[in-house]
Amino acid sequence: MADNTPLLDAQGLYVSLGGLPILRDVGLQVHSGEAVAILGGNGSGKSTTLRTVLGLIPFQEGSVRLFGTELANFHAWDRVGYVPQHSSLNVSNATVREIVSSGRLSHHRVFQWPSRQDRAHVTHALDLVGLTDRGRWPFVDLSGGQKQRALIARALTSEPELLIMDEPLAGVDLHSQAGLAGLLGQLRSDGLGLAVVLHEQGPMADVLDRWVTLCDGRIVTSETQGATDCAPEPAKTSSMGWLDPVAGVRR
Amino acid sequence: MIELLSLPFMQRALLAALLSGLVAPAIGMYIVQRKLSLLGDGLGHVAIMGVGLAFLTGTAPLPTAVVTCVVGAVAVELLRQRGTATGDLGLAILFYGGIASGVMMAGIAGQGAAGLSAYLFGSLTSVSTGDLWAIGILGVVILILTIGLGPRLFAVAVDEDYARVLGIRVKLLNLLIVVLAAVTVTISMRTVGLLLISALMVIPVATSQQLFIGFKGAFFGAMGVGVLAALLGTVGSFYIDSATGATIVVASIGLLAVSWLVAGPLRRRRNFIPYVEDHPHGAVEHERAENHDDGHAHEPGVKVIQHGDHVDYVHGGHRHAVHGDHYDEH
Ligand SMILES: Nc1ncnc2c1ncn2[C@@H]1O[C@H](COP(=O)(O)OP(=O)(O)O)[C@@H](O)[C@H]1O
Ligand SMILES: [Mg+2]
Ligand SMILES: [Zn+2]
Ligand SMILES: [Zn+2]
Ligand SMILES: [Zn+2]
Ligand SMILES: [Zn+2]
Repeated sequence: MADNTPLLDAQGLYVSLGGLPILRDVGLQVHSGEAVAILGGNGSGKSTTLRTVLGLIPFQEGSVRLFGTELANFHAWDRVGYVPQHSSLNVSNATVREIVSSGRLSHHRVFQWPSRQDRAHVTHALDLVGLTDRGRWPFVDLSGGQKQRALIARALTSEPELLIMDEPLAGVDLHSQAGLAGLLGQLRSDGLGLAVVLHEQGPMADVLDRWVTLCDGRIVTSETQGATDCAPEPAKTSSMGWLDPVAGVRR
Repeated sequence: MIELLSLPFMQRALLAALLSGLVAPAIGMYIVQRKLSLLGDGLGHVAIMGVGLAFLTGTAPLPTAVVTCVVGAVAVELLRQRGTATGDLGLAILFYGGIASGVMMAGIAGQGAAGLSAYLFGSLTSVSTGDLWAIGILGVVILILTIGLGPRLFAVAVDEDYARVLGIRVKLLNLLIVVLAAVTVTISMRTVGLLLISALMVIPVATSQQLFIGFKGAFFGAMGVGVLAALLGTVGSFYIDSATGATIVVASIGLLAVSWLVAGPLRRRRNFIPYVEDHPHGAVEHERAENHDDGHAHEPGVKVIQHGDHVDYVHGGHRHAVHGDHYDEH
């Protein structure tokens, strides 16, 4: 694989759900060591985009390549991490460790149970998100923000090269948000590719390299912006002043 | 008890019942987690058709019922995965058509309700040596699959989409669960009975979840509870001359009641939250919490609640909050 092959390369995606067109001509590229944000209002198709590139939703037109391989032929799922949006888990009384451990399964053969090494990875991931002493707790007893951090740990514990996150900081307190943003920035400098849906850039602004804005299932560009009624408001960053979401570069 | 174990039919019945007690909660864990508790009941209805078919054709009931029920289970899962209104109607037709055609065929074969009832509610004297071998082999296969594939089945039960992104064959495993449930139902028909077996899939799981934290703990705990219920029920039905399956289910409900009695006070203590007035944390007046000088991390089971800008830990009737390098009493 050539070094400049994108980890994720989605082009010209058209998706319809229940007969309604949801995505129109959406593309998304993520390279190694690059963090791309997907912005846009509620219902603009951000989650659908992520779920489509992961193969959870079929697309009618376009192409998705992961690590240079067509999605249909892609099997190296241990290289991909996913944090779903406020996912509703059927957990009853599973512990935090048990939930996080399932992230290691992409490395496992079919009848394999977790090894000592897996447990060490899980402990490390819990440390990274600040849930060290919560491992043996029932997952349902965590607060909303702690649950979200546990799901981030679940994705990190497989040590992915491409991390796809859907509003990962929703419900997380500001202090932890800053910690997680720092962690993701660190992983990105180590070569992680990141596609992340955000409501606002918040503490993530310093980590992001690029951002695309969706509006009504389309990518907003300077040409299409006038044609839609949901021109994005500029987002404020912590240190760099105002970002221009249309051009997708720092001014 | 010794006298009871010297009876060959009793040995066979006990072994078969213990195996059901082990296997039914193992598959039941995944069924409960996926909120398919009524599935076992429906599969029991389909198996009745297999028994009727065996009466009519003069074949052995157990193999015929296993095949019928597995075919029915595959149909159920395919209908469920389509998830349409016709799918729902299809399930109803399959379940009630199963029980109706089973009773009908048994009647035509001259067996009537009396012949069927041994399969519906379980009967001690009906387990043959051949049955026991079949039950043993199938039971071991189910155990190997439910335990060996445990981590994957757990991941699918918790979050199907995420499991897909892990590269897990979600549809295949969902199908496997339903097929294993079908086999469990049929190998239990001699002891627990087709109308009652889904209770042994669900009730020990509920009991175990009262007593153990974590999926793995609850999984093996449920198997233990299931075995205990099977033992109590089989022995009990010998002495009071009742239907085995009915006695096993009553015993498992008794164990559930005991687990409530044990776990209730425990949980009430855990959930008790002393009242404190709102306060900005680290306000002037505070008192160090006792026994917290070793910077101990709070154990599982200690209640955590958000309290304004900080988190309180509740245990033993006290509320503690982190303050710098120590915990404060509230
Ligand atoms: N399963 C579905 N069937 C039909 N429409 C859907 C489905 N899932 C999402 N949609 C619609 O697709 C649009 C985009 O949804 P989504 O991608 O979740 O938005 P976002 O994540 O940007 O808030 C919304 O209008 C939503 O109502
Ligand atoms: Mg969304
Ligand atoms: Zn407090
Ligand atoms: Zn105290
Ligand atoms: Zn304490
Ligand atoms: Zn103090």
